[in-house]
Amino acid sequence: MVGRRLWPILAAVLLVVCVLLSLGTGRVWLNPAVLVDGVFAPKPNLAWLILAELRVPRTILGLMVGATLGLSGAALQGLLRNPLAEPGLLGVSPGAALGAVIAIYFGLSGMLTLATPILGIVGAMAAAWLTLMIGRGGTLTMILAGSAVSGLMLAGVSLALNFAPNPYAAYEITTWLLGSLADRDWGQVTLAAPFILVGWLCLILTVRDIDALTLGEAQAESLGVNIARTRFLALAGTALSVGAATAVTGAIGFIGLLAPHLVRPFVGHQPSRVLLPAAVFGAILLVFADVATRVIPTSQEVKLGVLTSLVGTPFFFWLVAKLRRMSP
Amino acid sequence: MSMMEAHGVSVIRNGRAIVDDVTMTMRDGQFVGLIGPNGAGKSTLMSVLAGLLTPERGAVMFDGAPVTSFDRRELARVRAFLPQNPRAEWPISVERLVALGLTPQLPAFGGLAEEMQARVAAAIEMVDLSDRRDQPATTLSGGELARAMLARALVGDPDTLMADEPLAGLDPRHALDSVGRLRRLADAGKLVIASIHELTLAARYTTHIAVMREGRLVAFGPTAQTLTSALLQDVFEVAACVTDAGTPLAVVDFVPSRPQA
Amino acid sequence: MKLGGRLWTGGAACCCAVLACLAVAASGVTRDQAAEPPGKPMRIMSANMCNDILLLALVPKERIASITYLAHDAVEVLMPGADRGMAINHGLSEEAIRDQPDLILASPWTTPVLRRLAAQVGARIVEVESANSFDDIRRVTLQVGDAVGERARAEALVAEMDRKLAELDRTKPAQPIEVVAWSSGNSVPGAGTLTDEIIRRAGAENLARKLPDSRYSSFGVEELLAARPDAIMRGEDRYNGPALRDAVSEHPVIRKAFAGRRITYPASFYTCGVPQSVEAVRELRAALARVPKGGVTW
Repeated sequence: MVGRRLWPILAAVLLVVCVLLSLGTGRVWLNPAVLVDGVFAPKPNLAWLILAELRVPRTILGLMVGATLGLSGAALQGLLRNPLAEPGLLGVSPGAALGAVIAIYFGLSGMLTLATPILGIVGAMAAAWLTLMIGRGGTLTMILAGSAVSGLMLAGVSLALNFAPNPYAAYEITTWLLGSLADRDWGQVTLAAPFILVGWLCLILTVRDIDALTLGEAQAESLGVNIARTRFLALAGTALSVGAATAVTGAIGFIGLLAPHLVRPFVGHQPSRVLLPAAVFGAILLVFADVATRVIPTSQEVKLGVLTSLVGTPFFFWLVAKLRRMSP
Repeated sequence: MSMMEAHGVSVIRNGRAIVDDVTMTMRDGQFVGLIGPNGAGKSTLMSVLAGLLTPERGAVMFDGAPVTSFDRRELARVRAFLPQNPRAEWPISVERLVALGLTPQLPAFGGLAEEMQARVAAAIEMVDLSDRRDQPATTLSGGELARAMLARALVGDPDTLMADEPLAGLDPRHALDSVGRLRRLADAGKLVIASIHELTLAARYTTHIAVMREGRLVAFGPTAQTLTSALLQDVFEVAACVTDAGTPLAVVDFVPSRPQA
Repeated sequence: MKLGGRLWTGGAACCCAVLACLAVAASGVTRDQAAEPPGKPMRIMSANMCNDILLLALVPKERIASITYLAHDAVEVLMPGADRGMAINHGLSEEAIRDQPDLILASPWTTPVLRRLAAQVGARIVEVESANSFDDIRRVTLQVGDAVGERARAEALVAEMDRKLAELDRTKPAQPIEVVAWSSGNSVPGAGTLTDEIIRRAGAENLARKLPDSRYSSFGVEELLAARPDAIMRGEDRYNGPALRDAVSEHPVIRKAFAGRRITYPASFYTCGVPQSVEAVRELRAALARVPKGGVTW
């Protein structure tokens, strides 16, 4: 397939382009010459500050979060053998959201910048643990448990909004839930990175197993796959990486669903082949979306989660229509 | 491995014995046909023999060693298992599908070594699917998919092949084709165990017959001696007529017990 | 008709009769109220936080039926203890029935249900708009003063406010410094807001005036760095007095660049236009004087 050879080149080019765009775009227009000058001029100067303290951490975070969502989506689709699976399915994202909302609700976010991400990670872990405990005993049970845990977490978020101490807290919670990468700093990068990297490791370790699962659970087990271990690794990897990612950015949907589908025409359907390309493409997608939020000329910032939903939903419809056509 | 034994294997669910105290010894070179009415416990027994299900009582031994003592990947190298109606969940090519049979031999990361690619090609060749090697497995016909799955099972060169209803849904030509392959595998020295509903084919191609009813093993022995009309009548509760069991000309007929009014 | 059918019909008829009686009784309650002659309102219900503060300043406690639950924090800052023992409302219709007010101070955002209910309960409803400038404050204070029958007190408050404003105008500092009221980029009050006027009267320049957009627009860290105001202001709901405090939840760049240049202000008095807002101008001026000279350096 021509696509297979083309893919790495295309990915590399898109990656470079999106990173450059991300470094060069912002609410304050600094033309590339000024930016480059800023790197070499005596620091600190405005261009350097904006670049090093704002745009670089934002870009890195965008790449990490996008890659996380893509990787986790591909791993879960492989594990569950379902093209509609995505990180939000197992309750992890809503759990992270609840953790972060608790931080905002009790005013902890005002006391410590990292309170929101830390509690978000705690929330994600708790949700994943709950799903694993309740969902023991099969893939279908795990999906249903994830659904139940999602419902519980979202109920908690609604409760917090209902009893918000004042309109400002409610506003802050709602805005956080919409998802954003704006004005993130190095502190959040260093907080999230270890969890994300360990999560990636867990997810990548499932690569052989999810390939074997193409044959169904019985044959995969006969080939030596420990399915309980695979489920655990996939869930733990998702909880760690997606939990940390959601904790610093808020709820960003559809990237985990889209990225694997967009790379399959290039790399084929074998789950092991989809993992890393989906991660790369997820990173590219998210950074492009983030650049778009900075460029769209509205007085209020378009939230990243809103943009990915608006663009992702039509794609979701298209995907369902395609699946309907393919089914007997 | 040259010998597989089951000693007093029992599987109990909700107080009921799905498999009830089954003891049997099978050796390389045998093609064992497992027959019995629906719900007799054949699939459950096969899962236990494959080491995928732990029985409540009893044990399965491979060459004297309990199957539970084998590491998962070791076990995967020694025996291959095909469940009922195997299907491919993703539209990957036949070649990749067959290559999945080498999973136990593969390292955690990395592609297929040269030597392994050759084995995959040989397996595909053996089932006559070479011209379909790049076709997505989900677009294969029933017979072709069955052959592809068989190639997947055999590419790892296991000592034992266990197949649960490998002939289900196949037209006569492909069914004959498959059961003939299984017999040839047994003749080449492997142990083949397959549960079969097509009794005429079982009578023609198997070397041994194991008959189950309500979880119990009611008979086990060479086909010619074991597959009798009396046994079939007893087990299936239908009048049966078996001729020339154990030979290529065997025929198994069922006739209604009473002529319809 | 079968027995079952008769029971159902009978039951339904009874329920209707009971409801009808209740309706008549309820309207009877409200109709009696409407018969009272109008005079100085003796049971005033305020359904808006800003009106709460005005009300507390204008009438004695005994004449207040209830104030909103949001008022407490602001009252603690301005007139501690003024709301002790006072009933609380959440702007709900049932509370209007419970409090039996004869005057309801509402805002343009009060629900239509409350308005309709006010008529039935026999309460006059006065809609008070929000104040976005000291002119507005003057107008609104007098409006509320008229409504509660305390015009004289209202005029006194306004006169006091005007006197202080004039004094502040006389002693305006020569060198205005640039500030912006910024809270992590959510929204920035620009021209046409009370915050803007307070800043101007305190003798500073509101950076947000230069923004082309509407009164509130988003303003991220990049814009803040590029604009480089001399100080940034942050509104606090629980305000313990003016301070040049560091907020930990800011971006590290902001924390470092604007260390010692952060002014907190009582959010309630900037969003609610009341005569006491003139004190906010005085406090802001004092805080501005303490901002280090020279611009922000990195």
